Amino acid sequence: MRIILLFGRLIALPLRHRLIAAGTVVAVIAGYLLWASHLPPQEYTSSALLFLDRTAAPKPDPGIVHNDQTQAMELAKSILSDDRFNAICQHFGLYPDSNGGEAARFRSNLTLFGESTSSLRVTWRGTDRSQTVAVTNTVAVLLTSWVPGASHQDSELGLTKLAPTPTPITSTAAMEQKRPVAASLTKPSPAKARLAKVLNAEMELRVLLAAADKGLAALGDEAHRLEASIAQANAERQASITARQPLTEQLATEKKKLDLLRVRYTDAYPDVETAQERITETQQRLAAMPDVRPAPDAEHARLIALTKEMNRLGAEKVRLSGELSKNVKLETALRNQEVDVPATRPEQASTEPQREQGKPRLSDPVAPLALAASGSQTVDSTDGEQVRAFKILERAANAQPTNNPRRLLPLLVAVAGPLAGVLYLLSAVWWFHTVRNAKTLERILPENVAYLGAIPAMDTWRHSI
Amino acid sequence: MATQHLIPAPRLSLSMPIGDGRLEAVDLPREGLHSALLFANEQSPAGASYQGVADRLLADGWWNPKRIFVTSPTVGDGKTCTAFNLAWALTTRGASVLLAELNFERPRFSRVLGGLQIRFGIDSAIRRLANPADSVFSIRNKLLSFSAVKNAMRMGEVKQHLPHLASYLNWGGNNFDWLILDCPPVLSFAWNHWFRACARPALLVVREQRTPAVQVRQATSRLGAGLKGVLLNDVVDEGISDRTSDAD
Repeated sequence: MRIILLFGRLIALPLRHRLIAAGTVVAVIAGYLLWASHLPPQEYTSSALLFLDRTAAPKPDPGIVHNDQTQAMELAKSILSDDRFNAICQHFGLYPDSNGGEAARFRSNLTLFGESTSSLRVTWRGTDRSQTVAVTNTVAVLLTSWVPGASHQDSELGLTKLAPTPTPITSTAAMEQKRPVAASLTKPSPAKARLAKVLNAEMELRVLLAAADKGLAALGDEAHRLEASIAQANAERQASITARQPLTEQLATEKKKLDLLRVRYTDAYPDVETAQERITETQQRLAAMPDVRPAPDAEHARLIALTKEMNRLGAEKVRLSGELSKNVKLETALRNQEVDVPATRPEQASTEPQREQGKPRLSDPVAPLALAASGSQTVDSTDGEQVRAFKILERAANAQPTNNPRRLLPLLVAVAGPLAGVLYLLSAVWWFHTVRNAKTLERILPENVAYLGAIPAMDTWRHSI
Repeated sequence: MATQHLIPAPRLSLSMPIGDGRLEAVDLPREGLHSALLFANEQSPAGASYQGVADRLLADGWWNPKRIFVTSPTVGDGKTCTAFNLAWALTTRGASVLLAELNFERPRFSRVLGGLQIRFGIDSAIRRLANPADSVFSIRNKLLSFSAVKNAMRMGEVKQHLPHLASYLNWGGNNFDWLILDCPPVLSFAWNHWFRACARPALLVVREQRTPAVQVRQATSRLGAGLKGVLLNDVVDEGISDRTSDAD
């Protein structure tokens, strides 16, 4: 009984104060709509996995404490400068309303995580699914194409795109070690400037190649779909023609027969009339059959246009690949030139014959260039191919939607809808459970309240007046 | 209906105070009156039911003090007509009755009486703009008197002036045998602190087949010990509902 009373009170509250209840409902709905309108759009994340070649990566500064997993992150952070981010934002048309804050916003959406001592996961968050994948892959390509030998020239050439962020030096010893390297790096070198240009061009070519690949894939998909559609239309057309063929042949035979009969008889002759009736009947049967579908000419035309576009893109891709391979060769040649400079110095070769190849001393007056080359990505492999710090293990292929409060809307509707319906039904049942007669009234009343009597309904006694 | 044409109903005349203790006779047109008011239609069969209720109220003097705060769970249960008819029924037993309207925010008396215009109302009296006697008009040889609200009051005004109602009720208690007070619904904002504290003993009007049981429970709970009797209104089958219980 107490529970019933309690429930009754709960239900009676909105019933008694219907305006307040309705106002509350309206306020809740309005609040939700307001909240929903200010929600951020649905976001997607995409990630690529990079391999860090620790032998090719630059050695960490002795004064800075790195654990194994943060080395890759620190290196990647040093590579990814604001200018690079600005270039990516400009290329993809990101954050048009940022007024110069594109790099900061891009950086806030980028996550670098060292999954192990030799791997780095690059994750980017964006509002467009396909664009997120493309941006993630671009960042991965940027990291893999980075070469420090060119980066040292950036400040001189204004090509800060490739400049790594200077790593802070925290100990005096480290500063002592760094000083000659830094001093040598500030010296301009025409070969390095050329190398920087080549690397920039190479990066742009890779971006263009990726765009061409993407375009080719999209066109291929559409062409495949068109081919399937055309094949289906042709099959249906052929089936319709095949179905009509016997009747068409029969009609031709009957027409020939009628012509022969007309040579010999007039049209009033019974055989002629019969032949005419047959022809009419066959024509009617033919008319009753479904029409032959016209050939899908528009789709054919579109397919031809697509094929042309694919051919053009393919040629473009071949051209870009050719240019890229030329650039790679040129880059290799330039690096060979740089590395060979200290190696070919006679006085250095004579004074330190026991020095291990590829491990120059920091105190060596020509060592900085070699160090810059050998201590990081500029070490060339034996077959002449360049060794880079990062390699792509896994490209970003898909973007996953992130948790977003907007996704809760269907859940909210699914839960709140039935709940509201049940509550409404309960309240309606409760509301319509009225006092039916004195018996029900006495059951409700407390014992100390007197039931004074019943007054007949107005209609009852008005009729009897 | 034919009876009404053969024997014209007697005219209804009110004694209307016009100030300074003077009275004026005012004809009350029957056409505008609410059809359920028994004082204008004494031959109706419902009169016997109300008179039965009046007899129970008068028996043994168990309803004490002789004030009836008539209320109902919500609007539309028929408490105003019940108050009118109960007042009429008590006058048929020889008691003088003052029927006062305490629903200051949504007054109904004027409309029920066919748009009757009065000079002073009970609101004038509690505002101290008029004497209590100037706000009362009577009928049936002054046994049945009414005090209606002239102008509806806002909630704030009601709260401000309600404390003066106690002296008005005292005046009514001294001059009439019974006071019947038509109150706002117990489950409304108008049932304010004053009613919770002073409106006792109360009579709850419940309308059969219309008032939700949950609201009756709520009303009885809110009225508490102040609730002394219940009247079931608008009953279709009197055989089921015409059972009465005595007070303890």
